[in-house]
Amino acid sequence: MRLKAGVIVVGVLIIVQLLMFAYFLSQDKQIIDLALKDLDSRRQQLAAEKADLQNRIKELKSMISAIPPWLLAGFEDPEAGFVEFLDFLQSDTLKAVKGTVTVKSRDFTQTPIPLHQTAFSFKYQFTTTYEAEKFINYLLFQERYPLQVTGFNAKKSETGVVGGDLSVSLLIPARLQIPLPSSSEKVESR
Amino acid sequence: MSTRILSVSYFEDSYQYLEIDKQSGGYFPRPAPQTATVEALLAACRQADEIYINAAMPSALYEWENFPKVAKKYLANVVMQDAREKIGEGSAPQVQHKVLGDVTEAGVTKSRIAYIAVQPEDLTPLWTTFGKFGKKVKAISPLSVALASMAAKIDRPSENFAVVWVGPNSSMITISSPEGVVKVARTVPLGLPQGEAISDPEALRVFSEEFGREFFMTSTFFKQEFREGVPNLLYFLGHTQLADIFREHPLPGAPADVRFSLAEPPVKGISDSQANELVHLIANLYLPDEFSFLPEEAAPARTGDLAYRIALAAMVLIIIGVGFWAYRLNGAKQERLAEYEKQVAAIEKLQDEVLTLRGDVERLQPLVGWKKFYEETFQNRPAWNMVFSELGLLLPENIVIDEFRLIPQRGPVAGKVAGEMSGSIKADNWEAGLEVLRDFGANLQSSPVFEVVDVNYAPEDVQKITKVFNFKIRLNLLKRGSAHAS
Repeated sequence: MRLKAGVIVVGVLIIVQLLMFAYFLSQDKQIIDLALKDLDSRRQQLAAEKADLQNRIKELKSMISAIPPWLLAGFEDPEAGFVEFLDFLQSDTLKAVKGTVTVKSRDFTQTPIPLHQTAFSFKYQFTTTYEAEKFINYLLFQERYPLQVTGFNAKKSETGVVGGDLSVSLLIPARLQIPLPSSSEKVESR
Repeated sequence: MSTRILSVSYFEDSYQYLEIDKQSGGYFPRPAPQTATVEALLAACRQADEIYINAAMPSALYEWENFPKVAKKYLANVVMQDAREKIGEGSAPQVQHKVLGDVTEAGVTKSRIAYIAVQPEDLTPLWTTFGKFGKKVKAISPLSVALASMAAKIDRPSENFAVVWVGPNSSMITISSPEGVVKVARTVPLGLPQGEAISDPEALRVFSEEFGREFFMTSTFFKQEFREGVPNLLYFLGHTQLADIFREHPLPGAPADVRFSLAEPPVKGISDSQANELVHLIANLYLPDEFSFLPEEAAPARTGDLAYRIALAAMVLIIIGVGFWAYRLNGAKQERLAEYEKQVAAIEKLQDEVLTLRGDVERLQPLVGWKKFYEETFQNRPAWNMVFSELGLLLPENIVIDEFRLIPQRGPVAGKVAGEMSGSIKADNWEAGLEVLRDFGANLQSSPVFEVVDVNYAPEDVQKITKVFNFKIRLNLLKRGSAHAS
């Protein structure tokens, strides 16, 4: 009799334990389902961000490819660049138009990139447009010194000689410190 | 794994017992106890898994009767009523029966039933002694039933047979159907000769003659009761010397076929002579399900047992069901866990990729400034080198440009630089000057270098004979791809 009762008690205990086990399993399953939903949402968000970043990198790379490498190479030192520009000005072309140059203010600006800015003022004279354009072409249309024209004036005198004033800013950027990242290539390959 | 069986025989007011191991290979008796005290018997009962008991039960009434066909639930009452009528109305026998089949009697179909009715005084001592062992006691039957059943199951005789078991002081004569259902059984007060008598031929002759009379009386009763002939097969069981005795002194009126052992040994591991002497105990192993006189208290126990078994079965089913459910839940949980880990791994990989991409974007972002710087310095510069030659090409003879200047502003706006030129026109009249200026403005507008914004035109001095008209043109200098284009 005791054995029967014992068997029944053990059986009931086993059933209770199994039911509890099943209940806990069911709860675990629900919790995991909720966590999976959250993970799915998070995954979608990350996937969208990844796509945006890839597009952005693509745009940046496209934009970078439009910048000439010689510009990105920049100058070793702003002062050296400044002196180099002064040497550039020691030219017969400037003398041909009786040009004079005055260095004005020098300062440093952060935008759009860190650069050293030096203002120059040129005065020159010419009687034929060829002379003037030769000078202007020499000064403004080289591919070495970034110049920004801030003032331009040409006025004819009573004698027929045209006097010109040209104001430019020499913008020497700090050397680019960021080599194009190889990881970006990886990104694109993905 | 073996089952430990205790076989008990209650005969001549004393107990004999034998412990037998039931194994897959058959029945293996243990050595018979030297002294069969009640204490030793009870100790053996406690150790046994199953207990089978037989007894002489001298009050037992063996009947084969035809009963009207009744519903099964009423059959026991009908049989009991018949037994009471035969034993006496005041009695309260225990009755067990077996339905043998249908017979037709005077055109009416009846049930052929064999039953045994036993008075309580033959059963009460057994119930009292073994009641405490409850469910272990599997059967309590008359010795005759055990012997007949054993012979029928082992030898499978084809017709009625007789079994004579000879005890120390009394013997049992049984006549049975081929199926082992007892038809007639008698306990006779005649035992195997003891002491010197066993070797005295005269005593043995007398024993044989007396036994012959007892057997004759029994067979005569059988013939009268059943209207059948004396069985042709007779077993003498209980002692190995029976063969010698009855071969030397044949039983008067004995059947032709007399055997002193069964065709096969009923148990294994002991000699034939031992098996023959213990046959009344070994016979319990062959007891039929019918004709077992278990105490009435066992009935509720059996009901309880049934309920227990049902409960056990239900529990097992529930355990299996819940277990299967839990197993499936666990499987589903494991699947989700695997999916969770997969998602986490995917998210971690995505996070790493996003972090790398963010780093790349941060590294590349400063180049946006470089692009703007490039546009402001090189890419979008106006065609300064073409201003004068272009003006020279477009300028009519009667127009003089006095000044060309840049309107100060911070860098080009959308690739355009604002400028202004002023000069004078020689013309006959204001309208003619205006016409010249219009042509000049149109030419400027069509030039790739200039874009006219507005024109200001006014006479210098209306009183002069040669009319000179001043003008001022605000214009934009357009960008050129490169100075080298010129």
